[in-house]
Parts: sequence; C-alpha cells; structure tokens
Amino acid sequence: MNQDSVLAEKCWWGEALTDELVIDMHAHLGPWLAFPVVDDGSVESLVRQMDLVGIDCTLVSPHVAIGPDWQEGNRQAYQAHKQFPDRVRPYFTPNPKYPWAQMEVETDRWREEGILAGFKLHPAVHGYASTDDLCVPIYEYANEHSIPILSHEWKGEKVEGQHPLRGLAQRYPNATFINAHSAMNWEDPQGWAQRQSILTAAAAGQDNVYLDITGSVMYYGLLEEMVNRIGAEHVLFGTDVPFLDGRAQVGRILTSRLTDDQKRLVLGRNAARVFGLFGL
Amino acid sequence: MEFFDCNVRIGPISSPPPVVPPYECGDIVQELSEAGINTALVYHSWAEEWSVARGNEKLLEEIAGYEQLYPCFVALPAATGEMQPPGELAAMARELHGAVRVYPQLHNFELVDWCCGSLLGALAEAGVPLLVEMQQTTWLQVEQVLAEYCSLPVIILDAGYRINRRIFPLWERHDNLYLEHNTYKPFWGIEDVCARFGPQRLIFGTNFPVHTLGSAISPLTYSELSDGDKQLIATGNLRQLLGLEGR
Repeated sequence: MNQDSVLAEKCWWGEALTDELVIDMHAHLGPWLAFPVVDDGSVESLVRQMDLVGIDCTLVSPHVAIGPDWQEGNRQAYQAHKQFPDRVRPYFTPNPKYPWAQMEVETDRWREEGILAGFKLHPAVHGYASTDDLCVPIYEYANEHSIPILSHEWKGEKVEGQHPLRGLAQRYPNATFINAHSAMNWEDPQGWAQRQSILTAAAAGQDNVYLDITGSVMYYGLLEEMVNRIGAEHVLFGTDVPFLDGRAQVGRILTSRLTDDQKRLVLGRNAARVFGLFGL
Repeated sequence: MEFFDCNVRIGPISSPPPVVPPYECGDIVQELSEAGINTALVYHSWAEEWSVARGNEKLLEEIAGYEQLYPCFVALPAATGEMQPPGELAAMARELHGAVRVYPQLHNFELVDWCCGSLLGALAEAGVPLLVEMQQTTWLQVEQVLAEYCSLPVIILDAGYRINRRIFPLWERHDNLYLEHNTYKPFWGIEDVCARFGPQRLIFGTNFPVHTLGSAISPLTYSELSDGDKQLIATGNLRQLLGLEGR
C-alpha cells in the first residue's frame, strides 16, 4: 500500500471520492440467470452505490442485451440514461448474429441524440469471435464515427499467440478497442504471466487499444505490473455492477502502489478522454 | 477500523506470478500493517504444497515472536498417521487461539465422516474453527459436516460470488457456517447477508498475498452497515471463534 496516498487514505476511511473524476466504464443492469441480483440490478440501486463511493458516471449494457435480447437490452439502457442523464450513459450492444441494418437504425438514432457511449460486444456469450466477418459492419461504423468498442473476448484472446484486438485496432484506426476483464486469469490458478503477456503486447504502443481491469479477482501486483508495461494512460476502471459489487475494484485501485496521479488516470481521466465525457 | 484477517499465507510457493508476492513473515506483517490489518490467522505454504507435518512445524517457528499472528494448522485424516492425533492437534490449536484448514482435493481425501470423522469430532469438541476453500470440497460435503458436527465452526474460503442459491439454504439450517468475505462479491452482497442472517456470518479475510489487501478492505469501509456490524465482520466474529474475546 502506498503510505503517502491521499486516495488510499480515503479508501481506508470510506470517504466518497466526491472531488475526483470517477467513471465506471464497464457496468450492466438487471437480473442474470446464474445468481440472484439484489434489487433486480435496478438503475436506482446502481446509482445509490455510485453515490456511496463517489462515482460520477457509469456506462451500462444491460444483462439482457449481452444475453438473449439485444433489442430489449438496448431499450433498457436508453431508458436508464433518460432516467439519470448525468450519471448513466448507454453502450449500444449489438448481437452480430442478427442483421446489422436493424441495429444500425437504432445506433444512428442514439448517435444523433448524442447519448451513445460506445459499442459493447460480448463474443463470449453471443458465441462468435471478434475477428468474424459478421463484426465487420460494426467495426466500419465505429471507424467512421470514432466510436469506442468494449469487447468481452475471453476465450478468443489467443489467435496465433496474439490478441486479435491489436490487428483490429490497426485496421480500424479511428475506433478505440477496449479489452474487458484484462486483470483476470485464464486457467492458471497461481500465475497470470501468459495472459498478461498477450494483453500488454496488444496494448503497448497501440494508441487505440485499452485494457479494462474489471473482474471478480484482484491479484496482488497485477495492476502495478500492467501499468508498468503499458502506462497508466491505457488502463481503465470498471466494476461490472450489478453482475458484481463495485466496491472491491475501487479499493484495489485506491490502495495500489500506483501514484495518485496514475490512479486518477485509471479511475476516470482516461475514460473521460476515450468516451468524450466531462469535456475531456 | 481494525481488521483481523482469517486467510493469510506465509512461505514461498512453487509457481508464483511474474511479480513474486511477499512471502517472508516480516514482509507479510509489514504489508498487513500498512493496510491497517493488525492481526492475522496464517498458514504456511509448505503445509499446502509440500508436507503438512513439516509445514505446521515451520509455521510455529516462523510466527514465534509475532504476537499479532495466530496459527492456522493444515490437517489430514488421522488414519494414515502422518501427523499428531486429532485430539492433540485440536488441543494445541485451541491453546494457541488458532484454527485448522484442510485441502481435501489437493491432498487426496474426502471431507466426510468416514474419512475425517475423528479429526472433525476433535475440532468440534475443542471448538476449533475449520477453514476450507470451496474449490477443495463440495457443498454436499459441507452440508454433511455442518449437520453432523453442529458445534464445529466452518469457515468457507474463496467461495466466489455465485453462491447465494447454495449458501442461503445452508445458512437457514446451520448456525455454524461462516463465510470469508473476500471473494464474496454479489451486488450489495454484504448488506444483503447482514439483513437476512445477521453480521455474525461473515469473516474478514484477504487471501493475501494471492489477492490485494485493499480490495478486501473497501467493501467494508464503503458499506452501508453500522460501525458495529462492520467491526464484527472486520475483527469481532473471528476473535470470538478463536476464543480471543476480552483479550
């Protein structure tokens, strides 16, 4: 723990981060099949926890969108934003296995309204690879309109030993590619060497690739090593609420050995830049 | 807030991650102290990854002189005679305000009466808590132990966040079931458990140095619980189980 950190001190006392810019760039809404979710994962409950910690804005893709029904999910995301316009921003969550033309109409509407935070792709649940041709229209759209893409890739992360997002980032340079859950392990219960090598190699020196550290397990030293390899400017904070509780992730960053300036980048300043929020 | 950590390892391990975590006792104590964790129940890596008997001996050598550390011995079934008889182990653990943890999967035995009956009975009789990682056993075995040995406090470690449909029914039936809070991360999970079953069910634990310390601390400091309930989870519940109340 960094003994000189004002932010670590706030964590220890449970003091809300009201004078910091904090953006949770990986969240959901609603119930999920695998376990009960308190308050059914309502947006009101999510905002209550944001207030407790001092999170300014949260970017959401409802569970039903990353699950069976992209239309219902995007409707919920839109509605949540309308309910809390300053606190909740919606990802548009396409399911590339359905026709893009229908999704493009909705995406256009969000973009023209100025509410579109980015695309959320979930290859892991929707059952495709980010390199599949069916994703091309989404990437072309993102490239044309400079839209960030948060992708929960997981099992598809090793393609001939490299992470596919690096190649995509080079092919679509105006889009930003964010790899979800980058601070977790694949299988190895002890080490996280292999996955971190691939992920940090994908992000190093590639301006439009970012690593999101959202996850259920917080390994000792991993965040610091990630920042060491790719710089704090390429690391993003997310909580996965209400799939998970968000407060452990906050503590992991606040009490890390990063400098307070690096923590501020990870907590919100990077996300503000990537998603064009708060005037950054 | 004060914290008493139920799940800390000392000693080197066979396959550390790229950033080798601290493993010497002094370094562990230093990091815990910097995080405000004043007291901990610790086990030795030798007992998990090499020899239970040697690891338990090494544990006592290593923590001698650290009054803030309490021993968590690793145990095996009595039948193979690889360590002292269960009654002796339980008495030693109780005298030292320690506990016992088991690795049924890793050490190749079953956490059931026909295999561990004498061990479980001795621990129950002495009131020594039993700790087990959920990856090392099954919920069926846990339920059998809870039912058969209702005076044995069982602390489930590293159970993850997808457990409510299993652990809530167990908490409805068994008062001797406790959960390390570290990997228990359902949305508003800590508040939910306290509202349904009371704050006595959760025990502060970090799984340090595998996991970070701050990620275990912040769910409590940023919780909506009363200060009293927070303190029970942070220290009070474990102190009571180890017979340290009033000390």
